[in-house]
Amino acid sequence: MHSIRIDPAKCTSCQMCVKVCWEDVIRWDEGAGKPIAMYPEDCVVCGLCEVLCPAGAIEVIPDWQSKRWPRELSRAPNAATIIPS
Amino acid sequence: MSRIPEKEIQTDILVIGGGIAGLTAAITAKEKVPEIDVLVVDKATASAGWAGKAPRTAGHLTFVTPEDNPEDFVRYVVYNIGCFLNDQILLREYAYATRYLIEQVNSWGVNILRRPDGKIQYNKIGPFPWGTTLADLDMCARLASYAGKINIKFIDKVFITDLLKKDEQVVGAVGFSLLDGIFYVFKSVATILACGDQNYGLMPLWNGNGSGILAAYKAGAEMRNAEFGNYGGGFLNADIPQSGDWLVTGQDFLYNAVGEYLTPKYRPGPRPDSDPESYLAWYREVLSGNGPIYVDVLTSTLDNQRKFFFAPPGARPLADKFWKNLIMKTISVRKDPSAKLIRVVHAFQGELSCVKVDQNYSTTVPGLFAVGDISFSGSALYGAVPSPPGRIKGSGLMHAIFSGVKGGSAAAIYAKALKVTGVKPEINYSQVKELKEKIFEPLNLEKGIPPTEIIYRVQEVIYPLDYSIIKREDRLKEALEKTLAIYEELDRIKAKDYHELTKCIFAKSMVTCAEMFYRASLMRRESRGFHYREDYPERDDKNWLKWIIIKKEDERMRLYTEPVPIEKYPYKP
Repeated sequence: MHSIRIDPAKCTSCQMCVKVCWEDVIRWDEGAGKPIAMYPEDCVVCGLCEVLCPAGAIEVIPDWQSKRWPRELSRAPNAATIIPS
Repeated sequence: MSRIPEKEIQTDILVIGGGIAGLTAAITAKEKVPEIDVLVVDKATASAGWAGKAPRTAGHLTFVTPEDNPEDFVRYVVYNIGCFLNDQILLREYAYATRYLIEQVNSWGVNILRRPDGKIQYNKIGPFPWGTTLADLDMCARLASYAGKINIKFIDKVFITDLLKKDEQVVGAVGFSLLDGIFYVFKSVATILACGDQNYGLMPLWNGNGSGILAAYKAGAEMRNAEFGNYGGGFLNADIPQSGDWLVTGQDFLYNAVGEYLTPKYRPGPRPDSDPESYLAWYREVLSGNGPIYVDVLTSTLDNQRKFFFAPPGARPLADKFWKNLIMKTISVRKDPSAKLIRVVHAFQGELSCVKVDQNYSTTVPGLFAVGDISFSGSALYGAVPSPPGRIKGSGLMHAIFSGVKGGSAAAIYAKALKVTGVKPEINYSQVKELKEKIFEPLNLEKGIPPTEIIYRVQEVIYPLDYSIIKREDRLKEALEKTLAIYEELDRIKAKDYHELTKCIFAKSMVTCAEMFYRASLMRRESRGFHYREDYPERDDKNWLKWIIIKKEDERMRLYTEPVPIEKYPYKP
């Protein structure tokens, strides 16, 4: 799974990452007063949270192997030559 | 179900989706008739300007520049892109409006690249009658800030699922909060769908889930040009296609396994963007045993930078940071980051945008408008192509703005007219109750299938190149049959929380959109634009100067044809 690392020491609780995360991956944790990566499985690694965090407190580490992708690119018999292993 | 709390909200105009088209429509409506209430609802945070796709685009705005003739633009698009399926009246209006519209969004706070003399800075690529300027990726943040100042209201993190109808009119919508599940009931005089097209989750960064298309279809709205719903845009790194290592201008630098440079053979002359020919080339080379196919990534990357990122450093601070970060991440997936040739597979692009609208971006259901990517093909503006970038890069943002201004303006007049005559939105509470039960049903199941499973099944049926891009009757029938089989699973979708509940709606919309696409593709027995049929490879102007219309009737999907009024248009085959 992709991992979203939020450094609580650097985080200033501005909530920018919560606002920019259009996939609803990052939520606001009222209790802690900090953002939380609630649904990392839905992160698409757009990187908006990383580039817009004013404190540089977020890092997204992709794990592309964990993402499912359709197996069959083509129905044609020879197409096997282009299907990734 | 009654224990889920409800909120009822009344507004004159409800805008569903707060990306660039929704914000443009909201601002236009409010400025046109300041006394009406305008409310924007989005599942992301539209009030801060981070909803929709615009913040993750390249920021291109393609327009008819002062050195171009709008008539040349119309002629080029009709002959070479739309292949006579355009609404030529709307297209002409667009051609003349683009320059003015860039100034318009600039006046609302969007930064546009300017030359030292203050004129719009643009780039011209190839011999085409248009040019491209650039905006920074904070464009929606700036529009949202402007919208807040003129008293447009926002509700964030609420996902709208269905439209409400009374006496054949759309009178509102319902949805739920992703955060706490509160059920929202909106009563509105006019409703604007601005919630994007259908990408089937296969362009993860620019994902549109098609929920607005499904809502419009269920409300009885007609669809148009659904057969132009998918295309191949560039190529992906075959080692790990899910990474989005997307070789944007790759079609110009294709090589086969024996080292032959394919592009001059299959793509003679300049093309404004992706084209169906490169996909045919890739496919035929593979079938004749010349696979795998490679892209020269070093040259294509340089070409890409030269063509698309021509802004001086520092002119677009967010875009510079965003793209640098993204490119570094994608290049890091390559086995050998310095390799010149990379094995590629097709980059499937789902862009079903078939909600039919007239020249005011009004759908066929009174009270319902549709702007932006959701109605790109449905408007027939560009003709026989999927929604942007289609065949002109930068036409997506431009169409979002154009349609937002047109639809926002028409919705404002509609809402004002109804208010003047004393009409108040009245909803049917039994419909609301029924919808509420249906929407939350996946939360109540003890056992079931997670929505991601259904989504994956649709992806498997829409992704193969020779199902959805290179078409033939037998394969289309096979794909349709597999699509229809997925419907049987829909009652078993289970969600564990409100976040996952949104995906249940995505899954449902994907199945319906795939059905529309395959049915319309089967019906059009010719090749035209981005619709290519191996069994009918020629364009047939005698029988197919027609639009295919889709409509829900008696719980079934019905297809009709409607002749293109070519006799009224200046450009004829």
